[in-house]
Amino acid sequence: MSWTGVMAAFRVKIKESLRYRGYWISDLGFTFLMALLPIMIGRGGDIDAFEALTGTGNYYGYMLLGACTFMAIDAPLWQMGNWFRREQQIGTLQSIYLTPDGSMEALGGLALFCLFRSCIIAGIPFATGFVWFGLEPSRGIILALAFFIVGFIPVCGLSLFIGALVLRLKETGALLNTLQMSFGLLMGMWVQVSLFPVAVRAVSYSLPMTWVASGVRASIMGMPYLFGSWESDFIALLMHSIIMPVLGAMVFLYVEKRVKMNSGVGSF
Amino acid sequence: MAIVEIRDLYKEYRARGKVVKALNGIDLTIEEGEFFGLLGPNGAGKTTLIQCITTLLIPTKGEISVCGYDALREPSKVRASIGCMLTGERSIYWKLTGRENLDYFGALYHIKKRRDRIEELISMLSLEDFIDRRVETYSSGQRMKVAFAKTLIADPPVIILDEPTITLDVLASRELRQAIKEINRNGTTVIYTTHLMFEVEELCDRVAIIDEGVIKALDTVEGLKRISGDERRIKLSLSDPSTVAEALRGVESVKEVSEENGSVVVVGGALDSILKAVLSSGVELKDIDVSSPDLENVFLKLTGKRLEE
Amino acid sequence: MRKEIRVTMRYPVNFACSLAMIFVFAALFGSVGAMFFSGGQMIGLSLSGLIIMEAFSDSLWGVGFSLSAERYQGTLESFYLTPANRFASIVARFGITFFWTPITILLCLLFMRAYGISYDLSALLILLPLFSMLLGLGCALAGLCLLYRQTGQLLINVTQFSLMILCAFFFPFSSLPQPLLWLSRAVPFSYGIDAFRATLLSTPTELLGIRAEIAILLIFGIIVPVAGYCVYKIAERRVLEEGGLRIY
Repeated sequence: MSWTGVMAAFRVKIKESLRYRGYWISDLGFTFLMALLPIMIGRGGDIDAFEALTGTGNYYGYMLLGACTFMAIDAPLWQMGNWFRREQQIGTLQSIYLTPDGSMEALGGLALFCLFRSCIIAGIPFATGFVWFGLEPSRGIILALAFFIVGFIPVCGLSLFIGALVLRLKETGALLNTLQMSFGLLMGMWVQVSLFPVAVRAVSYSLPMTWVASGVRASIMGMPYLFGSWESDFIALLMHSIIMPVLGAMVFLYVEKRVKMNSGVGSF
Repeated sequence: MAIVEIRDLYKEYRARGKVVKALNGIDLTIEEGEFFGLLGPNGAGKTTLIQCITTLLIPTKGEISVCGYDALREPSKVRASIGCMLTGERSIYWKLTGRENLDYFGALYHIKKRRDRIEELISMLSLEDFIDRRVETYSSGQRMKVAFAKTLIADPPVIILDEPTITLDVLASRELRQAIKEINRNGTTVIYTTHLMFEVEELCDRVAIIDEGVIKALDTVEGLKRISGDERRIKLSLSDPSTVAEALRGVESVKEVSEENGSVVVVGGALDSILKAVLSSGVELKDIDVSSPDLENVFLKLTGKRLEE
Repeated sequence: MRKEIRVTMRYPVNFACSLAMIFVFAALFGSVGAMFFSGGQMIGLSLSGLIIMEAFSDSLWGVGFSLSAERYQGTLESFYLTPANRFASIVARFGITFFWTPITILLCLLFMRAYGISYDLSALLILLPLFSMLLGLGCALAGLCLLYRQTGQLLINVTQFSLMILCAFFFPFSSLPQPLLWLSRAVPFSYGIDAFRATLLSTPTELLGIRAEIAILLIFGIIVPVAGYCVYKIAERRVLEEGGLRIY
């Protein structure tokens, strides 16, 4: 695997995204909309009840950070997982698999692109939030950024599970949509994870995005961390960053081999 | 020297609970610099064989080596040795320009001096007029040319082309064939699948006829034609067919002479001996039509199918 | 229409996931509601919103994204090569809405009954002109997706989420800030949602009186499909002029 290949794949993704009209603007708009929807629900609600549950009365900031984290961390999961499907459909997957290490380099480039995209589509609403919703920029921004960057690693690992699923199954559109929204719910995009029943909370904790969302919110808004301190939450996220990529790669390589033994890569 | 070696290759897979035998014991050696044709009807196993060679598909049993690398143990090195065009114009990105496509795939093939190589290919395949436009604006022929350039980007010792001219018009198809011939002349081994007989006759040094996952015959074009047992037929339009027919029956190695509506049909025999006999008979020769045995008949004889089936 | 339903049923994973999505959304909006409201105050609002969202989602994706989906599969040209009336074929895809929305309605009514929330079934009649408007919106989006290619997917997402906010699917209109409320009043779908929710939950309407809202619905139930058809035809013409049927 070469860095040149990864960078070439990254450049191609940037060029492609710039050549689809309105791609970036719609993505940005979508992040704002994802934040606005729960804010509107909150406007007619009981803010004291919200504060009692979350430890902050600033539900604007809470929802904005949740939406930004979802768009920045969860959406790439869908992008990367669906990459196989899209390449299969436009017919270029075989071309990539015919190159020496192309599939891994193309995925690496895509991961870089997703990171870049995440920084843009979350960064701008994030900055707007500081101005609009009274979030304090100085407070824990470096720590929040650390949660965000480290959180990206296990998400890439998780996307390999999704990629394996896409390679294995046909017509995964509805499955991916359902998974994406389920992850949004479970990671606490709009809600406090502590609200869930114990079994659901356990599933939430097994997702790296939950730790990122909570870490970012707690660092910036001064809310409590899931395990009480930033250090313990950060260690939990680091564990995810080690386990998820390894597990994801194992599952993906196993499924890829099965596909190669059956109908071959590229057929759908 | 053998550049591709396939030994005892089997490929089975399950489709809707049934076991499908796509390849059923293939043994094949392709020599360095050879132009090798793979001929077979749809579903014969050609694409499966190519997918196995290119490591896209893992065989059930058997060995494949390309440039001395084992396809199962060193798939990355095998892929680096092969340029392959499988899905034609859909094997490149339509949102990118031709040059951007070549640059991208060049990077994935780890080409060091990509710019120089791209310029070389642009000039070799005459891509100058459209290479900097987006692929979505190209004609089918232009897309295939860029897809072919992508196949050559790593300057591989082996290229595999799966029906590359299938969507092209006569002119574009001829141009592409010329380019492939030129590449082969420069020493690149070409594996070419097609169902067009004239392409096989024009291009291939040796041809394998494959059907139901088995190689039914493997020889040069002339060798395959001999398999059919058919002989050359010469139809002579003459002012006095009976006299000539009599004379021709005495010519050496002529197998059959018959008269048809003022013409004489001769099967077998050397062409110069036949012509000498006609001219020495003093009879006026109005027209001559020579038909050689064709691969279509060989194919029909070996597989019981027509190529278009 | 039969083809669409058949395709839906042929992919059991898709079918199961689409069904599961209803529960996921119910849980998502129910949980947000539980953060701000105590007791079952938000449940009626969330479930009525879910019915509306399902109808919107199916129309926008089933109709609006249908041609883009065909393009990805490589069957769009084949579809255009048939002598069938293209617009009628697109309308037929609306059948998917009549498949999933009743399932959602049934599930939501069962939830309501379980939570002891009373409902008025005559509200379902209000959905009819709303469906007609959705058909128009779906057709317009089908044309725009054809024209704007991959961006079409984002366009539908943004349209869907914008309408979820402007038409107050999951919260009262009174929650909207004044400028957004004015915008909301300019969107005819808002009156349909207000009328549907008020009738279903037997609560007063928020935007206009129920008769005025139904009148608006009936008028736009005719105007929106016509406008949607025009947008589709204009977009289709531009795509055919550009030769973009095969381009991704």
